[in-house]
Amino acid sequence: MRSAECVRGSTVCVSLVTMSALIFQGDRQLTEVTVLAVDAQAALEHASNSPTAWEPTVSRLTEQLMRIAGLDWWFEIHDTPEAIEAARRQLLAHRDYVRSALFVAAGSAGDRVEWLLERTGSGLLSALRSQREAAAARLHDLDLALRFLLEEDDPTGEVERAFSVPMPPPQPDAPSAEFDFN
Amino acid sequence: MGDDENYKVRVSTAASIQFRELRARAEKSPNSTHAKLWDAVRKLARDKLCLPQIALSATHALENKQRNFANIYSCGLGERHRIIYLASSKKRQVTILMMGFRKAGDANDVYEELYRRLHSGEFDSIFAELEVTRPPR
Repeated sequence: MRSAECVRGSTVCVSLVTMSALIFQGDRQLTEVTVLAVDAQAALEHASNSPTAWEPTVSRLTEQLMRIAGLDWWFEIHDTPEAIEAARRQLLAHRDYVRSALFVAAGSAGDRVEWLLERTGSGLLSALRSQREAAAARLHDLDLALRFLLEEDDPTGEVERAFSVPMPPPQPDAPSAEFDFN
Repeated sequence: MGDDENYKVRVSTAASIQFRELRARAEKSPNSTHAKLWDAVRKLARDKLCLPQIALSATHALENKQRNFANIYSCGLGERHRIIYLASSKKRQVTILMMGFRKAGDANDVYEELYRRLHSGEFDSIFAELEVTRPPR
């Protein structure tokens, strides 16, 4: 699925469930690891052993992401404290040679992922812009997610619309009503 | 009526429109961010805001966080979304006014939007319904 040239590329870790993503621009030691996992625990186990094991079933989205150049380390991160903490520990263990990292999350995982980002240094983001642009052509949602986290200019409101619900026009003064949340 | 009885949770017209839109997006894309958000909204509205100790929690009160927002509460959904609501211990009711996106300093920030709508009188009937004092305009 990947050429040898991609081994020198960066690393992308994406949660298919939460649209959380981790992108690493790693050195050789990192990029020799090629992992696709369907849960964080499996990813960590694979990564620690530097395997080239692939899950037998790969979703269409996963395949799309893997075609983005240089994806060689992949975490699926559920928004559970345990999964996020596992990713945090893994990152910190590699912090000396991880050149850049980007953590993207939407939903309840976002604050924890941003916490990670703060602690790994703002200078880590610059190399990822081109990566994001490459991704955009193939995976629009990932591009939106990256821009969301980076808080770049959003002149058209596209990012905000993707992650929020628009306010309706002002409504006439009206009493409350029941709503079925089931 | 016992003090341990749960509060009713109702919604404003604006919130109702938002929730219907969010639910439609969630149903269209079950693995999307909107689906996660809708799930969080449902759990909050159905399972948490009905509990007096949560609905009236001081940590949710806006009066100490934002000027002129007395009697209004805000509850976070993740890092960036907020549910804005009124709560009345007398009426034993919570009414969700709106939800929004926290974007400090931006014109579309949820609290800026709340401020505009409060000043427009959009929620006046709900304040009256709950017998809660409306913030001064």
